[in-house]
Amino acid sequence: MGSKDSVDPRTYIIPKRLEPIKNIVPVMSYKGGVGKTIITSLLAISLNDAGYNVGLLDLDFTNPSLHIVLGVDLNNVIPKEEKGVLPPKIQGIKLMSIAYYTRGEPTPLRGEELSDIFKEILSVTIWDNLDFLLVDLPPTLSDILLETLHHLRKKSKPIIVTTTSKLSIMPTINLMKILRELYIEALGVILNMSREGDNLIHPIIKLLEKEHVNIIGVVHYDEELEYAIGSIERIRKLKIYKEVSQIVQQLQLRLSSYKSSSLFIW
Amino acid sequence: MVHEWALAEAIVEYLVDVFKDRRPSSIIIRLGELRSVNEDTLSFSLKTLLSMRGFGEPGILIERVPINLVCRSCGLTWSIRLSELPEEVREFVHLVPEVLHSYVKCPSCGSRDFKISSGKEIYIEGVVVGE
Repeated sequence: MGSKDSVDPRTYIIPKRLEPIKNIVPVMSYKGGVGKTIITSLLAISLNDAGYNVGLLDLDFTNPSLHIVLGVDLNNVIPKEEKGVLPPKIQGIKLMSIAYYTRGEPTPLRGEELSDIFKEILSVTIWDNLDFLLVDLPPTLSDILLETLHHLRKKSKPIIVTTTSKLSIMPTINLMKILRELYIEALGVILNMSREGDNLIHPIIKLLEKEHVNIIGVVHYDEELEYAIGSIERIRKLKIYKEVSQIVQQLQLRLSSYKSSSLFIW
Repeated sequence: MVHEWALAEAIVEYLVDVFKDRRPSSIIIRLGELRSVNEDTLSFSLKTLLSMRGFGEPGILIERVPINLVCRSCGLTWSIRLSELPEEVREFVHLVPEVLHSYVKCPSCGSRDFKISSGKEIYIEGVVVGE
C-alpha cells in the first residue's frame, strides 16, 4: 500500500468525469429491502422514454442488480474501453455496474475495498453528456453512501425510498436529518410498496409532513412486477411503471419553476 | 491506450491542482501488478497530456508492486502472478482489482475473504519540482 505521503490521484479526476452530467439523482434508503433498485430502474426507463439522456450507476458492489432488472446478459455485454470505460447502452440507457466484471460471482468486500471500487469506477467511467445519472445505492449510512455524499454532493438531488412500515419510516426521517446537516437538498421521498386500502398510509404521510419531509409520490405494490423483471418492454406495461412516470411528470412541473437550482433542466 | 490514458488524466489533474505554476522535473508513480499498466503507454499518455497543459516533459519513474494476499479467515499469506489468471479475469481485474475476490480463493481454506495487501496500488509517490 502507499506511504503516508503517497497520493491517490483518482479522486482528482472524478469531478471532471461528472462535469458533462446535468443532474445526479442518488436513490437511497436507510433500510434495506424497500425497492430502491426497482424504483431507480423505473425512474431511468421513464426519463429515457421522455426523451432524456439517462445513465444508471449501480453502487451496490456486493449485490449489483440493475442489470438483472434491465435484462443484461453478462456473457454478451462488456464495457468498451476508449481512454476510459464507456458504459454499454441498454435500450438507450447507459448502465455502469461492477457486475460486468464479477459476472455474478459472489464478491465479499470490506469497507476500504468498497471505497476503492467507488473511486475506481467513478474515475474511469466516461459518461459524456447526460441529462440524468441515477445512482442505485446500497442501504444504510455506510461507506458507499458516505462516499457518494462526499464526491457527488455538488450535483446531487437524492430521492429517498421507503415502505410504509414503521421499521422504515423512522430511519427515513433520520436519513433526511443527515442530508439536511450536510446541506444536501433531497427531491423527496417515494413511499413504495403501498397496498390499496392501506390504513397506515395517512398517519405516515402526516408524520412525514410534520417532519418537513417532502413526499413526491406513493407507489403501490405490483404483483406483476416479478414477471416483468429482465424485460424493459414488459416493465413499460406495468401499473407501477405508470405510477413512477406520473412522479417523473410531477417533478418536471415542480422543478420547471425551481429557480434556485440552475442544474435542473426539468 | 485505455486505462493508461484515464490514469494519466487523473495524475495530470492532481499535478495541475497541487503544483499549479510550478513545473515538475520528475514524477514517481507506484503501480500494483494487478493494474496491468503498460509503462510505455502510460509514459506516452502522461507526456502528451502534460505537454497539452504546458507542463513540459518531466521524467517518469514507475515502481511496480507484486501481488500479495492475506486470508482473513485462516491467516495464510500467499502471492499470485498475473499470468496465473485467465486472460478474461486479467482484463476484469486491471480495471477493478477488487473483483479478484470473484475469481480467487485462499489455497488453504477456500475463503474469498482475503486482503489484497499489495498489488493494486495506484499512487503518486513523489514529485520533484525544479532542477
